[in-house]
Amino acid sequence: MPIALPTISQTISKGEIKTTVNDEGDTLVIMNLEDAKFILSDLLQYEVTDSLLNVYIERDSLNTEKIILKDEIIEKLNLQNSNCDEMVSNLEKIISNKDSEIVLKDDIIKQQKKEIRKQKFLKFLGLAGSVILPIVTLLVLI
Amino acid sequence: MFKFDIDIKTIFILILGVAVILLLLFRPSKEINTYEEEILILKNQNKILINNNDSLSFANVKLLEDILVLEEDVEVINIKLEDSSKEIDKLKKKKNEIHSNVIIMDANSVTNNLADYLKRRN
Repeated sequence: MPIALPTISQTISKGEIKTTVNDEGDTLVIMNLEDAKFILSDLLQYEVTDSLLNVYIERDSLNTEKIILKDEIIEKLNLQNSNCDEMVSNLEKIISNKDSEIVLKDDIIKQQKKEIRKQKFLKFLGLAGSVILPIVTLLVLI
Repeated sequence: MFKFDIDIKTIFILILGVAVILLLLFRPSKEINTYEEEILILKNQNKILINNNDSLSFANVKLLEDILVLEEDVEVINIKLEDSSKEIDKLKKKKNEIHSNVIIMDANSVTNNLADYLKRRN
């Protein structure tokens, strides 16, 4: 772990960077503490910005996925809608067929009513004849 | 009593009149058209249409199930998006605080933080 002396004495001015080689042969980069703080601050900010970028990329892919899913939902809803339209058209055709059926049945009822009326008249005529004819015959004979 | 004075001619006319009336009354009745074939065709058409509607209705139920599954997936994504939004807010806050935190650091903290950064990079 590098250790820096907690000193405020600074001989090197801001914006200046020096390099020296110490007795052990290490190359030391010397700079003002304020400059080091700026560098650290920028580095940490870049690091956080990188993390932010990753989150934004992840968010972008999530949004893309969401759009695809929504598209699929819209497609299925459209299909459902067209099915409903077809159902409505079928039901309208069924109603029209039923109407035609009713018209035909009305005609049958009309014909049957006519026939019933005729049969009733014949029945009445038969009944009347069976009463009147004997009387007329009797009258003629007498 | 009554006395009928009817000659042969009158009787003939009467017989003819009665015959005409009877012919009119007992003429063969017109057969009632029951439109059986037409009604059967209409009923068959309706049956086909009802079956078609049943199939469509079944397809719609399946589609609704699929839509519900997709909506659940969308909901999961929404939760993830909400989490990422929180993460972004957290990171933005952290980014804004960096400068003020670094400014108050002493030399040791600066060197430690730089060393930590280098470790993270490697």
